[in-house]
Amino acid sequence: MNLVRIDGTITATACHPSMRGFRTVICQPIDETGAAAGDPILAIDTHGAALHQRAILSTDGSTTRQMVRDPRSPLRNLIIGIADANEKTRK
Amino acid sequence: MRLGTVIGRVTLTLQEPVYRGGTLLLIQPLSRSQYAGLSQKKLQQTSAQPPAALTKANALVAYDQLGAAPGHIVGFTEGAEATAPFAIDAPVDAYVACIVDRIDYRPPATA
Repeated sequence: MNLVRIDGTITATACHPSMRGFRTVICQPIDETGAAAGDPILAIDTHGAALHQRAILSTDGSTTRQMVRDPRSPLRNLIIGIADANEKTRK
Repeated sequence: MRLGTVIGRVTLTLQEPVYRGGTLLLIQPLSRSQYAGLSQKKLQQTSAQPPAALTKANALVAYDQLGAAPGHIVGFTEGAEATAPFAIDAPVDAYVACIVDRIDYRPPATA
């Protein structure tokens, strides 16, 4: 599980059937201070995370396959929670 | 899943039977700065000039069943999940899951 910041979305008409109907968000991995670390990655979001919200990203493929209800899905990354605050960045 | 630019195709004469029906694409992963450059632009235009320049990240070969072509921006998954779409065990490390129409990338101004 990684702490990420939601930095945008993508749209794709041609996609694996398991992606249809789900929001795909651009996630920026961040460290405990909120600074960006590394290149963005994409995840399925079923919680409706807002732009620049901090979220918890799971990289467990089997959980994601269950969430999209497709055992043949190639998807792996899933937003499993939205962070209210974390100690180091609490204002 | 990560995003990358399709920069070429790999053609095999002898190949695994499980590869039939798809193509093998060369993909250059996007860096963070390229996300900003491609945001809100009209993608999906195949051309000799790919929308994103080459980066330091290693290009990789991905299996594609969607019909992506050089110049497209695609989302690809890696690792065990890349083999999930196949009915039988397939020697695939990266799988093209979507062809991106539009990127809406808005990082915070202060970051």
